[in-house]
Amino acid sequence: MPLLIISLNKNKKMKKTAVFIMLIALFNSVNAQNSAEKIISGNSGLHIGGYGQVDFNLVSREGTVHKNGTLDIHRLVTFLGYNFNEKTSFVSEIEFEHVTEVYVEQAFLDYKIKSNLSVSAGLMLIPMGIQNLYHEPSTFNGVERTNVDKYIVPSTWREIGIALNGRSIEHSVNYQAMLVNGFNGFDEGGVFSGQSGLRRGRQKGAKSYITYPDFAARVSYYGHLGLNLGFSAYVGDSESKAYDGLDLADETAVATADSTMIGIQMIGVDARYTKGALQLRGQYIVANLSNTNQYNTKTENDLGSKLTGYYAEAGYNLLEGKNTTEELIAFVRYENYNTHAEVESIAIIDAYNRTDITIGLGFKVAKGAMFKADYQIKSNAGSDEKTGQFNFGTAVLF
Amino acid sequence: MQSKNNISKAATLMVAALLFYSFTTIYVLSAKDWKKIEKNAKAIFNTEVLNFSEIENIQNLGATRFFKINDLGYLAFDQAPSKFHKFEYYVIFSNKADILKVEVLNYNENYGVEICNKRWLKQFQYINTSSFFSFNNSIDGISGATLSVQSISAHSWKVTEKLKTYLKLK
Repeated sequence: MPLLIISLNKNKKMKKTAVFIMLIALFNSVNAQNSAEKIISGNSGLHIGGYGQVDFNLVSREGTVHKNGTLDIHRLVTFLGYNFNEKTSFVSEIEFEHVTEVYVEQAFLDYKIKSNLSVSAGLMLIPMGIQNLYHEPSTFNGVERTNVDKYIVPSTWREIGIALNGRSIEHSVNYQAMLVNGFNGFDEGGVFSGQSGLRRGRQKGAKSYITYPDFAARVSYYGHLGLNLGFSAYVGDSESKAYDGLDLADETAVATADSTMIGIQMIGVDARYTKGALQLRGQYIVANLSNTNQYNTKTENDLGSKLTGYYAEAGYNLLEGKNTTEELIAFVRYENYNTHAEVESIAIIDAYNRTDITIGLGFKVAKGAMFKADYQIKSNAGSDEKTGQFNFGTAVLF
Repeated sequence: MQSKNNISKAATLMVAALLFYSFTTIYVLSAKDWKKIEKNAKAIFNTEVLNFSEIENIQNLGATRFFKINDLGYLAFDQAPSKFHKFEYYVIFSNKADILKVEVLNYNENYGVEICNKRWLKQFQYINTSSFFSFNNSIDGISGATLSVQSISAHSWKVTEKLKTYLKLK
């Protein structure tokens, strides 16, 4: 462009030409803005979105004992993504939980190798089951997420690593394979427990540490109309701070460190089916943990050696066929999650074998906006008592 | 002098075109894309000889590209956003702007890829395009693909509207 402007003042016509070019150049330079200006002026490479849920939970009275209700902005997540070019994009999700806690849920750079294959690196969701990947509240029935996806799959489960994401449209298949850092199983003491399983060991990308990487993969098939089938697997060892600074020549120290980690093999199968007004979904997850005997002895915890969880849910859109885009979904779900399905050398605690039955309504007023109400009956194998809980919530995704 | 003026005019136009091009991202149809489109168009119109001629004088064309297919129908090629990226799809229309086929050519992420399911896309065939309400209402949702379902619905409807305006069908 400077070459063309040199010819300025040769004659009037050329002057006009040059001015015109300069104007275009000026217009173009406006386009070279900083990121804040890009957001303001609208930029095709920038994606902004979000999701959130505001909940009201009310536990039933136990006899004459009153329980207060809770009202909470359970989560509010802003999504920011940027496409640098056709091949390269960045994805991030910043989450506010219960107003005061801030987390980063996803933050990764994705590079397209081919049109059906990309590699990504950064903080990513572990591809296990339905809700860890599809955790936006308007995508599931019920105010709260399923407890299988809290106690067995510790949603939102995300760690830092590198992943391959691929798909074959021809075969209606997509897959993901990932190397990530594992759970923190031992720092000042044992982190895993019988009650909450692996949940407290999530490192979430916050100064996480690694001894060996773990492997996660998922394949899903959507070739049959209305049906989506998923198969997920996760294998690896938990991380332990006992290995940091460990002298590998010291056999006693190595043996002690070895007793602070566990091996994890988690497998999940899931299915979602929609036909007309009917929606069905189900999921089964099993986690086999090794070395729990040594781990429990060392940490004085009560971690189970097998964790299982499943749910089956049926929903029906009562407004199907009516002249409206709104949906009123009535649903029922049966859910069992057991963090003591099997144990090694400790007593099974039946209270960790828990069952929730949920019945409720979801009023989808727009695609991505819902009002929800449900009632949950919670029980466990260690007691004959059942507790009831009402939940009301608003859910959005955009 | 005259030739100099012509050169400067040409240069201006070229620079303007280049600058304009830098604002609009026009997707270039690959040979593979064309092969898919041709195969399906041949089957739909039951003919071996196809002639695609691009139509450019359509209002609010944007990034969409329209082609007339012989005297049999129309092809629209378009891009729409999925969760994080954009995907490319095409629509084949009859002469009366009825949708005969929608197919996704390239889908660039795993989220929402279910919309590429051919059987799901069949519901666009002869769909009622009289209003967006009835159009959108007759498309089934897909669990986990909400954003992409919304996107392909809204975009294919818009494309149909553009063609209808061009054909003076509305």
